[in-house]
Amino acid sequence: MSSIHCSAISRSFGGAAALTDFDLEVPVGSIVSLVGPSGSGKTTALRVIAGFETPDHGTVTIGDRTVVGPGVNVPPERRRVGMVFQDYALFPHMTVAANVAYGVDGPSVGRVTEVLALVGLKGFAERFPNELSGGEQQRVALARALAPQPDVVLLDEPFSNLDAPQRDKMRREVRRILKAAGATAVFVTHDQSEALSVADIVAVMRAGSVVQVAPPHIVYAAPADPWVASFLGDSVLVEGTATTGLVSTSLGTFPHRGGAEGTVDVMIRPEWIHPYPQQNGSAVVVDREFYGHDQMLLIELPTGQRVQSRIGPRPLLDPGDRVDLAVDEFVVFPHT
Amino acid sequence: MTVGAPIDARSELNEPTAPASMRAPSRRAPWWLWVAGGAILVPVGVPLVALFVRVVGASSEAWSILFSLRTVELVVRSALLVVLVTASALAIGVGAAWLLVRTDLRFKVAWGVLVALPLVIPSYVIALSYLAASGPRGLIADATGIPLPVVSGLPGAWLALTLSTYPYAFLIATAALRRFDPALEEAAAGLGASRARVFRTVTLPQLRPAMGAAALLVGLYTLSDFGAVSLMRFDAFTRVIYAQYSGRLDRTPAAVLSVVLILIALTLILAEERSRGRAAYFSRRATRPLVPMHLERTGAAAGYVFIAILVIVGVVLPVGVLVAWLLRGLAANQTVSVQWEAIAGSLLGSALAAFVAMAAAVPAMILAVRYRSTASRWLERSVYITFSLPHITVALAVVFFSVRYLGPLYQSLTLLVIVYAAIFLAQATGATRAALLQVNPSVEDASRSLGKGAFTTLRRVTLPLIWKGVAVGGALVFLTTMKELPVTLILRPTGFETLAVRVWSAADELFYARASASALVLLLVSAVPMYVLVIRNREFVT
Repeated sequence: MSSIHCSAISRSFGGAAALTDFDLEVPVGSIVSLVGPSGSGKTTALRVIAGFETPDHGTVTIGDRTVVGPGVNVPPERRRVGMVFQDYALFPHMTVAANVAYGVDGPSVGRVTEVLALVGLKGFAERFPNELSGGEQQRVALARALAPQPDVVLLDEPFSNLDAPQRDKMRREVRRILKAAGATAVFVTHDQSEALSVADIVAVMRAGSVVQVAPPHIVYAAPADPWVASFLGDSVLVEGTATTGLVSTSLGTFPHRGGAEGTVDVMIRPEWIHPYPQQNGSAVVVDREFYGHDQMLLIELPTGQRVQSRIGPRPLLDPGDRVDLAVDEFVVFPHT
Repeated sequence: MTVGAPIDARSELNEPTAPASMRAPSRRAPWWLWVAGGAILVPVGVPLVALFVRVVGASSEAWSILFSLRTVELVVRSALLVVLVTASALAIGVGAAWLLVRTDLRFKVAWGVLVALPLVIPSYVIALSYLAASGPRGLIADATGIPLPVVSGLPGAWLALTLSTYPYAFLIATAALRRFDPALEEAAAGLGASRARVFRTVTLPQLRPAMGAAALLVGLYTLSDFGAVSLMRFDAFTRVIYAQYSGRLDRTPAAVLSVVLILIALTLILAEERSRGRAAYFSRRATRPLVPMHLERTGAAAGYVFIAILVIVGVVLPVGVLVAWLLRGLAANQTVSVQWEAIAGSLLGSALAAFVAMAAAVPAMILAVRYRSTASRWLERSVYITFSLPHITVALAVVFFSVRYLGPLYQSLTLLVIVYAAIFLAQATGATRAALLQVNPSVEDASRSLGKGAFTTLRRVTLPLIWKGVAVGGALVFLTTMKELPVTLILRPTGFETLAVRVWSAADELFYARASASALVLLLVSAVPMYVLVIRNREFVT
C-alpha cells in the first residue's frame, strides 16, 4: 500500500469549478473520509485520483509515482487504484468469482478464495450479482477492488445504497476489512456520522477545496470554523466578548487562552451544556425531544436567546422547569 | 423503404441524458474508436462532396441542363406527389391511431398489429400488386369481367406510397396519443368547453408536433422512393434520375438532378431534425390511464369498417394478388421457378451489410454516448443524414466517384456492401445506442480501474452487455438491405442478383407471375422475421 498526495488540483466543468486548489495527504495504511455537502467536489476529487477525470492543474502522487501532473497522465488501468463505486458496478454477466478474478493477472483461484473469505463471502463464488443483497454486493465490490492488491482503495459513497440497519453493520465491516487488508483508503460521503465513525482522518470539503483535515475527535471538538462546526454536528453559536484570559457570553464567563480580543463567536456543542434543576434558576426549559438514549432540550436564557442541550435520559426535564447551566467545553472563533 | 430507423432516430435527440455518462467529457476517446466508427461513412461522404464539387464546378453547363430538363416541372410533379401522399398518409394514420387508442373499439391490439403491417411490405411490392390487380388484363377484370383502367401514374404512385407510409404516421400518432394527459381535456371540459372545442383547442395543438414530425418523415420517404414511382411510371425525381443515368452516355444530367434532389431532401431532413427537438418539449407522460371514449353503434360500425378497409387494401389485397398471380402462372406452366441465385445474392449482400454495420455501430455509439463532444454529435448526425438522403443519389455519387478514382472497386461486392452498411447504419446505431444507454458507465470505469485498457473493457464488459441490442440492429440492417432496390440496381456487380432486383425487373417488364413469385419469397424471407423482431424488441427499435 502507498500514500496519496494531491496538491493544488483544480478542475472545472464549463466554467463551474468543481475543485479549486484541492490538497490532500493520505498517509500509508490510513482511512481518510472526504466529507462535504453535495456539490462540494468530493466525487470529482475521487475520480481525479482514480484517473477518470483529468484535472486542469495540479499533481497526484501515489507512493512515489506521479500519476497526473505536468506532462504526466497515467490512464486509470495503470494507476493500481482499487475503486468501489456508489452503485457497486459489479459486472452483471459474471459470477462473483469472475468479478473478483477480473483484475487479477495470472492464476486467480487462490486469491479469489482468500479475498472472498476476507469479506465474509465464502460459498458465494458461483452466484450472480443479481442474486445478492445490497450488503453482499457491497462486499463483492470491495473484494473485487482488493483482489489485484492495489496501492490504494477509493470508495465513492459506499453506504448510500444500503438501508439503515445494513448501513451500520457495513460501516463496521468495511472498516474491519480495510484494516485487515492494510489498505490506504479514501472514501467519499456526505454523512458526517459515517465520516467520523469509519475514518482515521476526516477531510472536510467545501466549494471544491479541503477546509480541515484532522482525526475525527479533533474536527468535531475543534472545528476550523463555524461552518465546519455546524456541518459535523449540532452546535450552539453565541456571541461573546473576549478580554485577556476571559470570554464572557450569555451562558457565563469562562477562562480562555486564545489571543482574540473584543467581539468573538463562541461555539458550544449541545452535549457540552449541562442544565441543573434549580428552583429559581436563571434559564427555563421550553421544549424537549426525547430519543431514549438521550434527550435534546431547548433552553431559554435570561437574555431571551434559546440554546440546545443534549443530556442523558435522566433527569427528565419538563418544559417550564427552571435550570442553571454549566458549560464544560467551547470553541472561540473570530467574529464574523 | 425501411422500418425502425426513422423511429429509432427519434430517440437520439429526445432521450434524457444520463448524468453519469455526462460526467466523463474530459477523457479523450481512443483513436481507434473514431476509425472503426467513422470510417464507414467516408466512402459515401467523399463521393457526395465530389458530386457537389463536380456539379457546382460546371455551373454554367449545369444551369443549362437544369433548364433543358424542365426541372421546374419535375420539382412540381414530385412536390405534388409528396403533398398528396403526406396528406392522405397523415389522415389515415392519425385517424386509425385515434380509433385504436382513444375509443372503446374491441380487439385493439390485434387491429393495431394489422394496421401497422404494411410497414414490412416494400413499396414496389405494393405497387406491383396494384398493377397486377387492375387494368383490362388484371385480376379484378378477370374475376368480374369489368375492364378496369390500370392504376398507374400519379394515382398509382399516390396509392402505393400512401399504403407504404401511413404506418409511420400511425405509429407516431399512437405514441403521441398514449402520452396525452387526459386531465388537460377534462380541465377544458370542466371550464365549459364543448367536445368539438376541446378537440380543436386542446387535443389538436397537443398532437401538432407529432403530426409535423410524421409529415416530414412521410414526405422524405415519398421524395426518396424509387421502386413505387418507377413501377407506376410516374416521372418523379428518382425515376427521371435513374432514366438519365441508365439511358445516356453523358451522366452529367443525372448528376445535376441528384444535386437538386439532395438539396431538397436536406431541407426536409433539417426541418425534421428541428421538429423532433420541439416535439419532445410538448409531449408528456399521462398521469393516469386514458378513459376510452365510448362509440355509439353507428360510430363503432364506421370505425370497424375504416380499419377493415385499411387492412384489406394495405395487406390482404397485396398479398392475395401476389398469391393469385403465382397460382395463375403455375397453372399456365410459366417458369416461376425459385431463383436460388437471387436468394443467395440477397442473403449474402444483406448478411455482409449487417455485419459491417454492426462493427461500425458499436464504436460510433460508444463515441456518441460515452464521449459526448461536438465531433461525436456530428458523427451521429452524419449517420442519420446518410440514412435519410434519397439512396439513389448516394448510389450515383458513389458510382461517379468510383468510376474515376477507385477503378477495381467499381461494381464490386465490397463497394456495394460498404454503401449498404453506410446508408443503413442508422438502424444499427439506434438499437446499439439504446442497449448502451442501459449499461451503467461505472461498470466500464470499474474495469479500467481493475487494470484493463479501453479495448479489453469493450471486449469483456461492454460487448457482452450490449450484444443483444447490437444483434437487433444488425437484424434490422439485414432485413432492410434485403428489400433495398436502387442502390443494388446501380452498384451491383455484373451477374449479382437479388430478390428485390428480380421483383422490380420482372414487374417492369410486366411478367407479373414471375415478379409475384420473387416478391412472395422476399416477403417470407424478410417480412415475417422482421415483424417478429420489431414486436419482440420494442425497447431497442422504437
